[in-house]
Amino acid sequence: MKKLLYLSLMTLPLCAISFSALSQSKFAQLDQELPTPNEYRNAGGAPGHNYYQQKADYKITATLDDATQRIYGEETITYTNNSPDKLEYLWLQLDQNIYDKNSETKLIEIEKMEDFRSLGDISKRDFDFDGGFKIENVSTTSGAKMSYFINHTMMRINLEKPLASKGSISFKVKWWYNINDRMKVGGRSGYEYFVEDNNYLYTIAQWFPRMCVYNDVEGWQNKQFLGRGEFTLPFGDYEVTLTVPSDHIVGATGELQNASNVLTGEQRERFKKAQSSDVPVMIVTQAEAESKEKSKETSTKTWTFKATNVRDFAFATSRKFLWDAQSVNIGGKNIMAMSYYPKEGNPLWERYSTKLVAQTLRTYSKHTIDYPYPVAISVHSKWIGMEYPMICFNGGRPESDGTYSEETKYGMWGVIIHEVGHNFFPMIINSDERQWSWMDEGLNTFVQYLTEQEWERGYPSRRGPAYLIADYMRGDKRFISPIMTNSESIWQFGNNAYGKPATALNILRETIMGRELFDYAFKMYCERWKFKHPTPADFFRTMEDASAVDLDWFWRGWFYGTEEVNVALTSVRSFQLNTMNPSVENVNKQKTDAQKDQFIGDTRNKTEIKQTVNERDKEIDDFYATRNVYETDKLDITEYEDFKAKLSPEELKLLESGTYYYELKFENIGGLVTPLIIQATFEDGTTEVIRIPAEIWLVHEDKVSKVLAFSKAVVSFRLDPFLETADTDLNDNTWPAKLQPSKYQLFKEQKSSENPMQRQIRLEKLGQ
Amino acid sequence: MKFLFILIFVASCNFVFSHKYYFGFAEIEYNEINQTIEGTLTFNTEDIEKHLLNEGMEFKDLASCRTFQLQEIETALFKHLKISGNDKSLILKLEAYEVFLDGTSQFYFTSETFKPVSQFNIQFDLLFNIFEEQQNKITLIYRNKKYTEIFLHNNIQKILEL
Repeated sequence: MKKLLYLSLMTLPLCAISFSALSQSKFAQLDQELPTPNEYRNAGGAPGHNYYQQKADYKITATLDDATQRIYGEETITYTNNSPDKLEYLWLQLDQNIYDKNSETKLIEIEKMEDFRSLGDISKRDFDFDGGFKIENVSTTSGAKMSYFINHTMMRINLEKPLASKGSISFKVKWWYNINDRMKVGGRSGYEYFVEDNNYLYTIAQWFPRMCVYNDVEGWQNKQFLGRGEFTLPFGDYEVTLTVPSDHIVGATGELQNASNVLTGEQRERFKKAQSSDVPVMIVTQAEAESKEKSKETSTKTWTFKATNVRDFAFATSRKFLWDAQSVNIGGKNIMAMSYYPKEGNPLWERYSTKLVAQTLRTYSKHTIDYPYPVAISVHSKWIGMEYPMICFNGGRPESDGTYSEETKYGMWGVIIHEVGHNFFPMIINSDERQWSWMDEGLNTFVQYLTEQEWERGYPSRRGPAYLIADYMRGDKRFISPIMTNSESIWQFGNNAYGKPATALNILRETIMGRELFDYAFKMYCERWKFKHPTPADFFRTMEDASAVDLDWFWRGWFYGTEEVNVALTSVRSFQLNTMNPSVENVNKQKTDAQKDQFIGDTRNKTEIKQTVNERDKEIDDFYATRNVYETDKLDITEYEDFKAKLSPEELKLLESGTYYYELKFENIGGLVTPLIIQATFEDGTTEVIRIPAEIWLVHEDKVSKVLAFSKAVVSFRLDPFLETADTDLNDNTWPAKLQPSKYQLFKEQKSSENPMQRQIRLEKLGQ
Repeated sequence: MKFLFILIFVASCNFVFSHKYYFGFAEIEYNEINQTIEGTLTFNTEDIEKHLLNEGMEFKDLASCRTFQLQEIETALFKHLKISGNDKSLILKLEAYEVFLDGTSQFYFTSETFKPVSQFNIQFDLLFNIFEEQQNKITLIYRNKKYTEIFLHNNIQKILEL
């Protein structure tokens, strides 16, 4: 029911002072949570004036034994200590040791007997694989043995004398290991065996002893590799020679240095053509690859690659590879986008892979930094999705008959965009994955979403839009981790490290900061930290520093907490200004009184009491009984004219405006503070959207109210009409209350035409 | 595909991580006119495909299942979603399902007819035998009132007093 609002009352809410301001935990600054800024990382989130990082350069010579599926390698590492500290020892990563029989990864796996219900289960558990690095030698460049100690996936080299600040040291490591069968053992790298033609496809990574990061945050980053938290490594320059069967095609981090030794003249011609082509050009065709599958050369060739300023080196090799490439221009530089895949990947791979690589470089470069490397490669192997500098390994395989489902197509598109995107996070913006998965997976999934939407309008992205995370966020909080949780201890890894941070960034971009402010700040973070080692605080601080938006409440709620967005629109009251015009207000009063609910006794008495005393005896009614309270008399008019004379023209205009006022009350049920996006729909069908910043919850964190004014009467309000806040319960978002139809009801509604199962029945009948 | 293989795979493959959801939802409503439960199960498609394969079904993928396999899917699903009204076990019937490109699938089902009850006893442990972190959530709408329960490995059965 519409209420009348007197001018004098309008000022009252201004006098209302809240005493709950003492409780401002949701908006408290992150002083306690973030490390103190210093000379290495400043308070604005940029590298400090004394920021440093180490450098590790590698010269590696390796041989792949295709008959035994082994790799033999020797490397010379030149390590430069740019820190102000002297180093008594060096730490190296030995990630292959995760497959060692005594690996801690197996020991810490939680197991129950009911997990092993068949012989197959047990044999898989006890699968015998002699994995892990076999370190043969660690020596100085002159051949003198160096002392070392292996602690599971880490190796400490004990230096005879400490490595001084600004000093460097070169040393050699010789090793070999058995390559894991990914189909049996799993893994981020390994081989895929094709039984049909007795060939192997190798995707080789984390394959040589690699220097750990030493920095101002953690000293040596020597946290054990347990499987989930990936890695971070120092940047350096690589020169790698790989000896493989002579009919193999090798794709690797960096640029090929000896094409004339390993490629045919025709292949070199095709590659040259690809360098100036903006569509993929086949360098090795399917027919050529199929021919090599049968002949199987036993001789070898050595491929040499060089890569500058990268944090790792990976490669893929197989005689089964088709190879295509195209050029993509980024910031005036031509980059080679390339794909390597077995015939089993077609028709999907030849049609899409390289184009996806090129588009990913374009979109990411727009939102982050210009892609700085000369090549970007997508390699296909079954059931994988893993990234390394300039090269990544991706799944998405059609059926053997050459058909594929729509899910397979989108799965393949998504994984290629995602893994190529990892070139930016964390290969270039080199965060510590072993500590914080979200810093690369979350940021990458966010830009992946932007890329997908540029690839195809309405692309069914699995992660990014706010509404897609709502189901996860309303889960049992005992089994949901904050985003700021170490990689190994995360519940719901995919939702936590990929989905929620990507959603959070989308909400910042679309709702809280706006695209212009967000894009500038996000790009600033990427520019500041490219080829460096950022931490969460550097990201949080840069986003605020470059935008002048206090986001501490956002980081606190979305990254340090597990609360959800669930705001209810609990009540709406409508008001109109009292015009003070007696001829208008008296009519209004009469109407209002007539609409008042009637007490049942009064209603019945109207007919049951045939005549009252005052109706019989006219002497009873006095002045009060006979006056017309709705009548406008001269005095009323005079007083109204006097009142108007005291008003300014602006006040008079407001008085006569007929403005409708609505008091809306909101309750924060989920706990996570959020902007309020309110859509008002008017009697004439038009709408207006009001956006209220999250700071409305600054003082009252659980309940707030807001008065909105419109020139037209509102028939309904809707909270979060564009599904942009991840509100986990939409049923309490509307006034008048309107329940969202259940999924079953929606299914029934669409059933009136034809549902997919009915179509399937018709199709099957056609086939009979 | 068995548990150990999955565990190792999950522990070591980045791509697989990005497709694991470990969340399942059932949205059910009592239709007073038809006197049946009408419901929808929403699960990650790849997860549910693993379950169906574990149950011995043979298919390429859920999207290409034939209609005659609906019965097999129904059996495999409702082994792990059981609803009793006032202690009477209800027969659930799968009507249809849809596979969506966002990686989820929805299964639409109804129950046999039954008179209004004062209590539902629900067991909902679908995928618990495959995924350590699986959580299932049920939302029941009964006479315009909403009830929500979460099912975890250590708590697969809930009683809803109406």
